Amino acid sequence: MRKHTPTFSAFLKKAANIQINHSLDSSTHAPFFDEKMERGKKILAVAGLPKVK
Amino acid sequence: MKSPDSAQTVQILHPAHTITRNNDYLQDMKQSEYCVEASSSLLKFEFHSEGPNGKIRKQVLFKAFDENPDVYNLGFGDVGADGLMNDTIISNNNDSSRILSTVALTILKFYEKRPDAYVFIMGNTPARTRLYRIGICNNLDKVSNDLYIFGLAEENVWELFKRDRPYSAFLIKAKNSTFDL
Repeated sequence: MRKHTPTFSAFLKKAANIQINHSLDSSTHAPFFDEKMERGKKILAVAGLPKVK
Repeated sequence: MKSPDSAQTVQILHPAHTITRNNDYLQDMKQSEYCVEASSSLLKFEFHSEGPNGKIRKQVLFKAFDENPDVYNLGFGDVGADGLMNDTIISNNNDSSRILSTVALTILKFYEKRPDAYVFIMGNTPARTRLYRIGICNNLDKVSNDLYIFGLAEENVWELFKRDRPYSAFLIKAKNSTFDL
């Protein structure tokens, strides 16, 4: 198990405490997202993904 | 070109406003993240921003690229009365650092289900992307041990995030494959 810094561990615990609300399970219509996906797709096509160890 | 006296001029014209903004900012920094709720897929999150402009419903969405299914685009914005999310609204609720910190929390939660994913972040305007860069700078020491954060440099090349560089987009990846507490 990886040892986190204390501040990061505290942040992770907060994230773990986020509750599920099933009313959010319905699909979201966000028209702006189509354009955003298109822009991101073009960037990734050119830049690719960075290499990680 | 910006006059070297411009900051001083603003203070002379609006001293009270300047002090109020600084106090708001300091107060903002002291506050913790907003209370967030997630969909069961951990691809949609909601919280409410609270400030001088009232209570504003915010939403964070993660959507995978068809061509790169391990890369998720992060969308973030206000939810209007029509139920539609909009990322162009500037709510001016004096809580930007608290909001960015809350969005960071949603990224960590997202990683619970997808520890090997990349998260792609790009503002809808250069100003919004700059705001994200400031948010990353402010939290870099906290997360750099556990997350890779890359910035897209001018040459369309990803590089490990550096504080003094301008970037047009960001990619985040967890260093470890499990987010055990």
